[in-house]
Amino acid sequence: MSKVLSAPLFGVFLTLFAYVGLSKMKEKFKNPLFNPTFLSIVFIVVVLYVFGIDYEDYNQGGRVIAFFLGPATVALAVPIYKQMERLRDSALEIITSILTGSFIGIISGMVLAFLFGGSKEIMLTIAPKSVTTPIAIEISSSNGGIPPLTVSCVIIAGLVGAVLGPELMKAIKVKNPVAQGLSIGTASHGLGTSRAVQEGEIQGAFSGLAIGLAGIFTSILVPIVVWVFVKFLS
Amino acid sequence: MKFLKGFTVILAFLVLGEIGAEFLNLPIPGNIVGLMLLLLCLTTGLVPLKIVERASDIMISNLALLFIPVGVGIIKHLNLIRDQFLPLIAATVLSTVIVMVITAKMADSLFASKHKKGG
Repeated sequence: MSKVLSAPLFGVFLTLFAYVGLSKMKEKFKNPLFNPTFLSIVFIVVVLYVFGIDYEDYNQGGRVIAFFLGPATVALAVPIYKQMERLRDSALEIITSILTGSFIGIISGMVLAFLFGGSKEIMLTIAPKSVTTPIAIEISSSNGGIPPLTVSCVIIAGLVGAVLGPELMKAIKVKNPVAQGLSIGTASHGLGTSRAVQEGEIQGAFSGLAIGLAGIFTSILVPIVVWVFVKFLS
Repeated sequence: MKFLKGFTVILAFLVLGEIGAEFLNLPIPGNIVGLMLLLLCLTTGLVPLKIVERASDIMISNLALLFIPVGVGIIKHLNLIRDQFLPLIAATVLSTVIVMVITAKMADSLFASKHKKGG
């Protein structure tokens, strides 16, 4: 039994079982809060906890799946490239908006975490939370954050955008669909984008463009912000 | 075979990115350097889109599966989550709302002033 549990097969199977099963259930519950990825993580944590299975045993298989995060991140160049023609008409306006949003995302996340009593580790964990998960994981691990917690924060940020995004746009009276898309993609990556797509084609496209650019900008900005923090504030 | 060819090209860029980041001592993670290099090569036409398109689509459409094992790592930090629950949740939610408001207002006013100028 323990031999089976510590072989890569177990972790790979458990992860796929949870994800495929919960994705199937998602088709019935259309609510954006029913997030198969987050629920898979919770399900697997509960299984490991209840049966007293060591995380390292699970992770023999987990590592096999997580290996593909590296190439998948590189592969994000393809959708970014495809969306780049959208930049043609108003590159300056779009880049300025996404760059500002990315910067505000890092700073506000870190400052708010600090104000709510978060440790330095928690501040660094939250810093990349606005961007797509594979990029956020890398930014988190190379800047002193805790990648598994960053994953949770990224999903929460995504759900906030998916649940509140369009309503928030109404509340602040922003009617321009390009601005709406850029805003939702910059703040809540793919999860927000899946809702933006339902609002309209333009919202979806610019939200998609913002995912990639916000990811690149944030990966450059976080080390700079962290450097400034360490140099002048501690 | 088409998938394997594209996957191999993507892995090559990952290797290049990792080596580049390490060699130049960049603070940016190697796979993001790889992403930027591939984007550069797609833009300049050095790598045709169709070589990497299929492999990229397959990985990206299953992205949500790939980070589950990292996410499960929270099991090692359950005490930390209990202690830092408020800053984690509140900062993430509030910051996300702030980013949406500022980005939307910024883009809205930039586009409005552009159109006023007749651009």
